[in-house]
Formats: sequence, structure tokens, C-alpha cells
Amino acid sequence: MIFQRRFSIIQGVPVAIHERDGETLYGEIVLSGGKAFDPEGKEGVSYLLSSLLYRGCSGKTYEEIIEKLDSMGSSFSVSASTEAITVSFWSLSQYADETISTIADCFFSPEFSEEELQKQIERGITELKQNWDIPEAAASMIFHRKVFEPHPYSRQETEKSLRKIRREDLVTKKNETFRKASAIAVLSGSYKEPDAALGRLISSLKEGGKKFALPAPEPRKSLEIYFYLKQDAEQTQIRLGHPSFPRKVPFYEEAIVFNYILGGGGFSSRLMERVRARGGLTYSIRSSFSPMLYGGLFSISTFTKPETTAKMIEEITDEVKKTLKEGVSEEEVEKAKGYFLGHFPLGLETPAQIGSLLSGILFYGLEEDYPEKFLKKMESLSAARINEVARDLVKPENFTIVAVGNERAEKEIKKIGKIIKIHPE
Amino acid sequence: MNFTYSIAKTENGMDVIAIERPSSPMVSFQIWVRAGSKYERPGITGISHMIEHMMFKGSRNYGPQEHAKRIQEMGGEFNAFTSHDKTVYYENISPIYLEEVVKMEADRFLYPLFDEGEFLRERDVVMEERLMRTDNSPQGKALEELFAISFIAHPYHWPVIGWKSDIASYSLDHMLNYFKERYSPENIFFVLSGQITMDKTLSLLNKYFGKWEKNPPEKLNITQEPQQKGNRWSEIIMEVEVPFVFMSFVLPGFTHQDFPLIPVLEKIITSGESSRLWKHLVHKLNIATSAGGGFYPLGDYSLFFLYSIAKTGVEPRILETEMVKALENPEISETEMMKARNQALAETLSSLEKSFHTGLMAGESYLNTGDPELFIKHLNILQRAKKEQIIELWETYLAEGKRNTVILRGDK
Repeated sequence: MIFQRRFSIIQGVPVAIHERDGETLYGEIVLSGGKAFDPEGKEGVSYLLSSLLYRGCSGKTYEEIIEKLDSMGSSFSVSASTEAITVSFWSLSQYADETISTIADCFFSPEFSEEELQKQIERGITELKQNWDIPEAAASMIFHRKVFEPHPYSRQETEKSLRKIRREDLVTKKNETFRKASAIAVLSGSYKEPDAALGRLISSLKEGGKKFALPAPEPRKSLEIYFYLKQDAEQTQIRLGHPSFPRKVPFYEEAIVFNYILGGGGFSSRLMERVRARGGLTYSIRSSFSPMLYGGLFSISTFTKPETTAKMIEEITDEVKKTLKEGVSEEEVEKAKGYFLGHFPLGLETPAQIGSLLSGILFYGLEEDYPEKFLKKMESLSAARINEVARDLVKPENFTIVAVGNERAEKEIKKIGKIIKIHPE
Repeated sequence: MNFTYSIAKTENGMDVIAIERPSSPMVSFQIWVRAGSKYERPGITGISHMIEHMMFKGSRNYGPQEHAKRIQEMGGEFNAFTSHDKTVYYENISPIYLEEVVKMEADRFLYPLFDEGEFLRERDVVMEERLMRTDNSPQGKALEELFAISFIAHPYHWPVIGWKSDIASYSLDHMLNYFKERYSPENIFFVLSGQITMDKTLSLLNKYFGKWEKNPPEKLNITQEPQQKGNRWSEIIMEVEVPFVFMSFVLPGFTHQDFPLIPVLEKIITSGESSRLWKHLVHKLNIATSAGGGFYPLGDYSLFFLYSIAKTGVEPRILETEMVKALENPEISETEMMKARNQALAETLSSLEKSFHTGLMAGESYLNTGDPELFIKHLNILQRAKKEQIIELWETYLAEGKRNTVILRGDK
């Protein structure tokens, strides 16, 4: 075992614990049922629910909760992602009891005051408007929606959907998701009674609950180009990609090695070499697979001058096609394996790093000895095996392309194909 | 608190700080160079950062990017960052690769290539970085403006990445001259944190960096910031829907006796949703959707900054007025003091969990004061701080007439 850990079930909830000497503690509770499960037309329920978790509960006001946690130096985060709502916290071990009590007593029984709900709706709308103000954020937001439409993964809050949400929608969502059947929990660090602490947190959740499930997103069948005109943008933000595989597949390790060589490996990647080191077209380019429970995403993100928008897209597409056609070499694979084998242990230094890894194992239903299996599998990979898998992983002819830029960029991107213009909602 | 270190000198006089952490799976090797934007001059602003980029473009025994690629093959992390007072190059690697990494680092510090074609191509890359971080980002643009009006004479006035016209026009000669000025054993020290010993570290550094000849740097006269005699104000108009306000105050730098107490002000006024700023603007008045801030702990001066983002329909001038009101009452509660103490302690302990961050804290302390342990001494001073001291700080540094404000809004 490369690091000490144990798994068990507490009150029906799968948990993982990493104990070590030290002065800090990290914890996480992940509840299935994130943004993809928001009702159609009321996208944003998960977002609002997570924002309101610590804004008042029976017997304690929002200010009391925040002051209590802040005064102990404890930090926490509540976030809604596509598939889950996650509560995580970090605390000095000396204040762990009080931090856990505050979270257990309040975070899972919020009062959802009407005043706070309206404030959060306004806040959400402002954040959306800010995303449209910032080309980088706008490109990512448009891309995530367009690449998955009409699949529930594309669900994102809009001003219209946020304004439709009422208190009862939050109560319904909370009753659906804050259940033992849809939870996993992790504790990592220094604490005297980790099982009891997890039990305390879990007992705040209701019994039972439904199993969340979604079909996989449909593969794209053609190239689509979306453009958002931002008159004062001095640089074009570009995203390319398509839906991809879920996390629990037997070829995950092959895929990440392929991606490292293509565009995930920083200066070692082919895309970086071509468009930055040799081309001087950008400061950064990165490709990635982002697998989730039921499907995933392959994406490439970069930016360039308005005048080189078309050239950048052509260079990227050409390099992807070339890599798929010619395959990756044994030498490249060995170097990539060196990276993953060497880097894995470096990411196991802190309780939070180990806690996040354990949380992923539980949430995606991986095996308890996954860290050891990952390293073993990585050692066994060959170029032939990776090329065999990679052929079906990336389809540049079916990319969804999103660009955010000025009028010169618009003129440029029209060279690639017919564009669909996007306007703020 | 788990922090022990030793300090020694290489044969050619470079300081070495070794933080031995036997249970760490890695070692963080850091080279600190006294080459940041404060050593530049108008016309070549950003040249320190340009050198940082060019250091990845090959040396006598390694081709362009070969150094970076080799670190990645080891599974290591590497990068460099330039700031106002320094440039730091680092590798976080398994201890088995330390010798190879020291050898590669010595090659690029002693024998960099600096090819003209690579230089011109990299200048375009840096321009793209500037566009991404600053010109195409409303927040980046406002922050650049905030520094520019907070410092009108000291070199903190210009951005670390450099003004756009300087990046577009500087030559390889500009860079070579600056490299000669700043990159010499006298301006460099090493920090190693993780699974290492001082004996091994020192022998490796002597073996590979030992041939580097000293080149005493000329003493630079860095312009001091004149006393601010009134509030300063600036406005930026961009294509945005959501206006926001940035505000700053110039506070003392690292070596000043008041410096260790500045985080108390920061925590009370700007940190999180229990902060004065959030409670006043977001919770009580409901005119902002977010509010916060922080401080840049720099060598010569620090910059304490605040921000707030307007709720739809709220004029930024109203936000500005209320931000000022949030600073009006320096009376501090015991709960606020406890929050500041515990947050500062939590931040330090959290950083000490990582060899890399431990090295950075020790390096920053050493760079500014010659004492790698100063960040812990500062924390101890902060833990003993009295309310009266903080109130005095508040009244001294956040007074009327010392404020700098930047409003960023759309043109409608």
C-alpha cells in the first residue's frame, strides 16, 4: 500500500479514512445529484442550494455560523458540479470537534430564508453577467453548454432560470440529494475518533434516497462552430472538443497517456511544441479528458491574436489528425509513463491531497486498491496498446468549436466554416 | 510547529538553506534570484520576466525546452515565477533525481543560449501572456491600474509583466545586459525543502555551481515612494456589464516592525464572509454581490487592497462610498482578534504541510531579511498582538488621504 487508508460503511454510507500525525484535518461529503439533475427550466437549483447551505439553519443565523468557523481558522467549501454537491472542510485538529459539529448541525438542515434566497439569485445573475464580461470565462461557459446539448450535462443556470426558482424547489432538491443512499464521505488527517466524526456528519442526512443515473451523452456527428463577438477583446479565446468516455472504463490509463503526449503534458506535448515553442501563437494550450460518472468531455483550450484565430484552429486540428494517423511513439510513451509514475507519489503529501483521491475512488466506484493498480497498469502500457485505444477517443471532424473574440477574429473564424453567433442570455 | 533548517555557503559564496523533512516523498529545489521588476527601468519593464521565459530556451548542453521535458519525464513539477522583488525557479522532484536537476539548473544559469530567433518568438508568447492576464481581463486591467496609482515613483508602479510597448520593442541586447547585471552568485541563493540533507545538497551545489565566477553587482539606487498627500482615483471603461471597485493603501514592507501585524488588518477587514467589508456591503446593505481583498507582502512596501462587485443597478460610486464607510470604525472585537490569530496560524500550518510551500515561505523571509525563519517569528508576534496595536495601525495606514481607488465600468 503506497499510503495508509481504510474503507468502511457507516450508517449505509461508503467512507474512507486516512489517519496520520499532524495538526490538521480534511473532510469531504459528496452527494450525487448536481446540476445535471436540476429540473429543466429551473437550472440553478443545485447552485442556489449549495450557496444557501451555510446561510442560516434552525437555531443559528448565517452570521453566527460564519463567525464561528472563521474564528477557528476553519475553511470550507460548498460547490455544485455537474453530477454532485460537495461539502469539504479543512480545520486545525484542535478545532475539529467544533468544526464538525457546526457543519453537521447546520449545513444539512438549512432554513432557506426568502431574503437570503433572493440575494443569492441576484448574486448568481451577477456572476453570469461577469462570465459574459470575461472572454476566458465566456468561452468555457458557452463551450460546456454547446458541446453537450441537449444532454442534461449541458444544464447551466441562466438569468431566466434563476428567476423562476422558488424556496420549495430548494426543499425538494434537498430532500432528494441529502440522503444516505447518494452520499460518500472521507476524512483525512489528524483526529482522535475519525469514525465517530464521520458518523456525526452522516447522521445529519436522511435515510434512503434514490439512485441517480443518466444516459451517456450522444457523440457529435459533425463540426459545429460558435462565435461570441466581444468588441474590445484583444485576444481570441478558443475551445474545441466533444463528449467523451466516463471515468470507470478499462482504458482510462491509456487515454491519459495519449492525452499527455497530445496536449496534456505541458512543454512535453505535441500541441505545445507546435503552437507555442515553434509557432509563437500562444502562451498556453492544453488538452484534457474530463471523465465523469456517465460520460465525459475531451477538450482543448487556448488563446491567440485575433489575426491568427483561423491559423490556430487549423494547426490544432492538423496536429490532432497527424497524431491519430501516425500514432504515438514508444519513446513518447516511456516519457509519459515516467511522468505519471513519478508524479503520483508527489501528490500524496497533504491530508487534503489524499482525501481528494479517496473521495474520487468512492464517488466513481473504483477499487480500494486503485492507487496501486494505477501504477501497475501504467508500467505495463505500450505504444501499440495506446494507439489501438486512441483511434476512437478523439474525432476532430466532429469537434464543437467555440471562439470569443473581436470583429477581426470573426472574419478569421469564418474561414474555418459556417458559424453560429452566440448572444448573452 | 514542524520547521527546522540549516544554512551554509557554497565555495563561491552563495547561500544555501536546507529544510530537512525526512518523511516528505519529494524535494523542492528552488533558486531565488534578486531579479524582479523593481530592478528594471522604464523602456525595459518586464525584462526580468522575459529572462525567466528565455531560461527555458536551452543552454550549452540542453536544447530548447529539453530541461522542462526531462523534469516531466521524472514525474516532477517545474516552473518559475517573476514578481516585484525576485524571480524563483523551482523543481519539485523525487530525491533520486536531485543531482541531475542541479546539473541541468547549473547549465542554464552558467551557460544559457539566448538565441535571437528564439528570443523574438518568445517575445510574441509573452505578449500573448500579457493579453491573457491583463488586457483581456477586466480584473487584471484594474489591478495593473491600482499598482500604477498606488506607486507613482517607486518601481512597483509598473507591472511585473511589463508595459505593452516595452514588450513589443525590447531587444536581445537589452536582455543580455540586464542578465549580466542581475544573474551572478551575489544575487542568488538556494532553498531546498524535503527529503534532503545539507551535506549532500552542499556537495552537489559546489560540484555544479562552483565554477560560477562572482560578478559584484553595482549598487542600485531604487526610487523611494514620496509620502502620499491625498486620495488618488482612476477610472477604466471596458465592454462590461458588471462594474467593480478596487481600492488600496500603501503599507510598510517586509522589514518594518509593523509588517507582522498587517495580516490582522487584512483578516478583519477583507477575509471571508465574516469580514467587515462583506458584512457591510453584501449582507447589510445588499449593494454588492461579493467583496474582499488581501495584501501583497512586498520587500519595500506592501499593498493592502480591497474590492467589491456591484449588484445589478448599483452605481460604482455608491460602492466606493460604502467601502470607505466600512473602514471608518477601527474598534475591534475579541472575536475578530481570535479570527485573525487562528486564520494566520491555519494558513501557516497549511503551507507547512507541503515541502514546496515551506521552501517558499523560508525563501521569502530570507530574501527580505536574511532570516529564513522570520515567517514563524512574525506569526508569533501576530499571535501576541493586542487590539490597541491593531487600532493604531488602522488609524495610521488606512487614514483619509491615503486611499487609491480604481473603478472599472462599462460605457453605458
